Amino acid sequence: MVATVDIVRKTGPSAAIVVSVITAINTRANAYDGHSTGDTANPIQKPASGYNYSYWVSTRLKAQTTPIGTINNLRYFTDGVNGFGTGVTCKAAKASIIPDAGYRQATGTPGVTGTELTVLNHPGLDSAPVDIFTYVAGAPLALVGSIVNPNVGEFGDHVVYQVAIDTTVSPGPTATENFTFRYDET
Amino acid sequence: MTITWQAKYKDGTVLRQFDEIRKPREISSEVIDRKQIESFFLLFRERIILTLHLDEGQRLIYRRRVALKPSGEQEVCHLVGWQATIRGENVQTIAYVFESGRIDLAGKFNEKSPWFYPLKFTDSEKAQGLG
Repeated sequence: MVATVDIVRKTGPSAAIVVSVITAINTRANAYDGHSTGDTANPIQKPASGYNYSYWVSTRLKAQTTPIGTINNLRYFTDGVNGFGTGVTCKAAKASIIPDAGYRQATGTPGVTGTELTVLNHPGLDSAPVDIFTYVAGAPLALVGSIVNPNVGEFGDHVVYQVAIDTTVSPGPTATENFTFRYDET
Repeated sequence: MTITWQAKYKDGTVLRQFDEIRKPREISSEVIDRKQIESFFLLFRERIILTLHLDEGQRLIYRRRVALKPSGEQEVCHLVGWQATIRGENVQTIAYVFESGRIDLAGKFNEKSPWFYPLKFTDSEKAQGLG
């Protein structure tokens, strides 16, 4: 059959990256470097002023089975509407600068805040992150990369995003947002 | 809903995406000989749901375009059409066959469209004149 492709989230140090499949489940952007669907031990702490951040979330496509030909023309987008709620924003950028094809471990203070996602703090980013909801189906984030038979594994640029909260945020988990990858298969 | 394809050549032979007695069982559309193909079919449950009749000089375009959502839900669209060079310019017509049942027809690719945006042709497709 056609290739089985998953969305994965990557955490951990470069020497021991943990790759978690997040297709068909959710992943929380909390204040620690790990994937969970419902962690409550490390929420982002509401700031007294300014912003606090989630640890940045590194996602990518992974072919679990080889495509019969080629997969290319990768794109990434949202529905264009921030449904996280008052006081919550999210920025994203693609990352491909070596090492690790653009991956950098997220850092910060667990249970308080992540390090802000900037080109300076994450030198794997291709450009400065922007509001993720500016990427919509008709104006997506175009990703570079492909995978060709008989290869399997991760392919394409990473998409890295980070949630920020300000002083107007309400306690508790936000609503879920859906971020979509799109690709072509020959 | 799973849609598959078949290609019929000018000599009457048929090339199927899936063939139980062939190795490999499944092949990529990249291997279709664009110079010899006469018609191209999409099938659902072994029944033809779309036929593309190709004239001389028309080069087959095919892609399976997939939107993968974190929920695991996939939205799949099959792009079937042709490209020809007329007075030095590439022109094309593409049918966008969604596995949900919808079919759209469009000409020129539109970079700002959610679904009708350009392909990236592979080297083997470029070698067959697509571009």
